[in-house]
Amino acid sequence: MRTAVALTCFLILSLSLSSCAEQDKAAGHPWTPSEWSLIQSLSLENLPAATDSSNRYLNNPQAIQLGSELFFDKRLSANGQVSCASCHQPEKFFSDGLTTAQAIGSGTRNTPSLLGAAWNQWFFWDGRKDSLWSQALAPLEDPKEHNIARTDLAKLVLIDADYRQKYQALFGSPPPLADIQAWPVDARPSGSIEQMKTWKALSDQQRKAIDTSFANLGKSIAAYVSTLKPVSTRFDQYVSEVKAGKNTHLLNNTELAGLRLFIDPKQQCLNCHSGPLFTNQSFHSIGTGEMGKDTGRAAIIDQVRFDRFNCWGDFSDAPKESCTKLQYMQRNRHQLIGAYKTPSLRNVGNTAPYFHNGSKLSLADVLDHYMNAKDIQAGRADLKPISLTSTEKTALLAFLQTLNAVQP
Amino acid sequence: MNKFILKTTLLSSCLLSLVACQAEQAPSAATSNQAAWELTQTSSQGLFKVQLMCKHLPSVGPFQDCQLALTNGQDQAISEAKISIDGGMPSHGHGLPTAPVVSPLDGQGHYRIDGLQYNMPGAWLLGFMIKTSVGQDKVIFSFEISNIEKAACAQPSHLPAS
Repeated sequence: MRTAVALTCFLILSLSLSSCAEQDKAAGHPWTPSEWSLIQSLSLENLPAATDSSNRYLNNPQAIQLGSELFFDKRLSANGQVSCASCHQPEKFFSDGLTTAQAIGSGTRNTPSLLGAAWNQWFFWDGRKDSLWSQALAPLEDPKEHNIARTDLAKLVLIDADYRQKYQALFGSPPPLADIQAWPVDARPSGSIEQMKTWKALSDQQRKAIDTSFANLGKSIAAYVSTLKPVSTRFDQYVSEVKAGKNTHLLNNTELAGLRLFIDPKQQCLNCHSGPLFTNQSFHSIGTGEMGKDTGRAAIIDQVRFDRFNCWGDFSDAPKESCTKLQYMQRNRHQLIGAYKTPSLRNVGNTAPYFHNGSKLSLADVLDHYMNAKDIQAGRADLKPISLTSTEKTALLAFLQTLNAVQP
Repeated sequence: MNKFILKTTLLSSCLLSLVACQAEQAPSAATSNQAAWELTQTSSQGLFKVQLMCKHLPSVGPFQDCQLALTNGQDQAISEAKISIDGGMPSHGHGLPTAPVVSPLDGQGHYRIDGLQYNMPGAWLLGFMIKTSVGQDKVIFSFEISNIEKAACAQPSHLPAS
């Protein structure tokens, strides 16, 4: 009987163990199944394709080509010296390395890298745009960025022979050249009184035609930007090799210790920097907002809902009922004061400075903020102060550097 | 010895159940009209019994596919309630990332919840204010969201088609 019982126990144990081994295919690595599950959730392998139902041209090769040309064209600015690439510089991972953006004027926000931008759910630090194509329109007219009037932009692109031909191939015939040439210069729906008066003087039909071409240019630029993929990193290679059962040394002991800290709930990193883009795509206060000056998400709630170029608007390709992001967006201002979008951590070591206002020059400064910031200490932020020894800080910083782009 | 055999048998049953449970843990295993996760609670003043049923375990990211079943103290379905929803993470001092809406589903005491999302793992509260001709009462569910995919081994409940 004892033999039978022992045999039963052995069989049961074997079954359980084989089940565990089945679940934990990466046996041999230093992680528990729970830790490994968290680590795998951060891998780029889990990232689905970028989609945007409001832009039917997102993956259109002709739109990508046109968008690419527009992106680098300095003529799309009031002084002929500013293109999208002026701030989103390819050699700087489509960022600029500055504290805040500098174009025709000085901006108040740090320029984010565009690598992986198409995977965002909301755009700009405060999420005041709900699509990449709509986002692309705003800097063109912003007085501190391109500062080009809407009629000037439409005239430039639709009169230029090369652009006109490419535009027509994509979007159908633009208005006749004579009509376009009759549009006034320097007319825009927001700007100086004179500019707005000129815009108001246009007929509804003219404004609709101009807005249509404006939106189409945004969709083309978005198509190009969506080709700028999130970077693959040494961290992703590590996950891949561990999954394949390799005895990998791609991450050294300090970096592994940093990874362990990163996924440790005590440090709260994964609360916001989760998923394959290391962001939960949400808005949080980390004590960087400035009352009366820059209150982040709270300040733009109506702006995004009533944006003429949002998912609900006439220029969106999405059925209105599919715009659930807008429909159910949080509208409680009190809850969103000082909240900004969680940025991705992919390539974070290459895209200093940090935070919406570029106020932190290094990742060490960022960690210091999370440990010591006054608003965090006082409980006025969405996280509690973190606590790190200097060794832990070194490890966490080392891990963050494993998220940098790997040269192919 | 018999006791030992009994214990061993019980242990083996538990382990086998665990193995079977883990083999079925994919959220997609829940059939279209079954709740993989549910909580039931009586409202603060005892006016209503509220059953929160979701097709998947609560998770960070996607819109949650959830419904409410509302009954009174006599287990009679209440279909004419006006229900508002709110929630958040008290330990983080923030609310829900979205503004979800509760609306009647089938006239049999079922209500659909649209637009519900969570944006962090951890301890959440989800509250419902329920107004009927009888009176108003609230219920607050408290639960934990893991950022690790866990087994959905709760007993399935039937969810009416949305």
